[in-house]
Amino acid sequence: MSMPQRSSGSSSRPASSRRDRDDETPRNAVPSAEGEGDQRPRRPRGRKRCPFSGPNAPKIDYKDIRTIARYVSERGKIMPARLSGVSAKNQRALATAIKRARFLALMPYVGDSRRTVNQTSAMPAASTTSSAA
Amino acid sequence: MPLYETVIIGRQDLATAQVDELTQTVQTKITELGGKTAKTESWGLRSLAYKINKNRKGHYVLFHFEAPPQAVHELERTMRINEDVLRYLTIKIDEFEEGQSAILRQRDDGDEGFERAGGGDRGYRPRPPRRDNTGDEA
Repeated sequence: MSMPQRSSGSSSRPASSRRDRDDETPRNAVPSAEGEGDQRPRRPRGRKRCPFSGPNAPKIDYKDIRTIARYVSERGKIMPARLSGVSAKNQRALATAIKRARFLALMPYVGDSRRTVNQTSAMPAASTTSSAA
Repeated sequence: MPLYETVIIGRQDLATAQVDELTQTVQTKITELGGKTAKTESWGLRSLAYKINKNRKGHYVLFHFEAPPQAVHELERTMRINEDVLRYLTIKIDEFEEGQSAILRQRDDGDEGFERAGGGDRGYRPRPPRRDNTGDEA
């Protein structure tokens, strides 16, 4: 029943010259004329730094559900590294950690997001009716 | 001898004394099998993220121990037999973690995840790092 042990030894990666994707560069802030104009501006294509690499990065631990829960979608799916920027090595360690946490019922296999979705969708509707009344 | 970390989940209707008893039996079993327990940690009665054998909650106990590999096999066999154990997970670790494990440290912060979220296993609301796309899944 024991799963293979993975050391979360992280090799620090050299800092990328790109800035963090949160600050948008004007080049990408301009919506593309062709195709979908309804989309929000695309984020810069700079590589996100791995949040588990580096000197004082958190250790990937299945017991640390608060850290790990950030890398899971609302449905409880493991987020692709492409979105989170986790390095391949750490993504593998993260995946086993999430699976262990699920096994121990620290985290759901299937996150019940329907209820939370209903709540969030019902809230603006309720506020509009109350303001209208 | 390799180092191991085991987490067991006890049935929800166990009394605290029974949990201590269970902890004791596991510890004696480890020593009987030629191992040494370095640490035990009780996480108390926690809500499960999903029901296990009709249990909504469970008593979590963590063990750090050093034992010959065959001992783990035997230990897990006895836990399979023991009906008070809902689930167990043993993993091999490189070194024992100093101090409290992350679970207890987080509890100290005042946020208890599932337990405080209300509605049991439905209240869970993980926060992805950021939402850059409008679509949920790419």
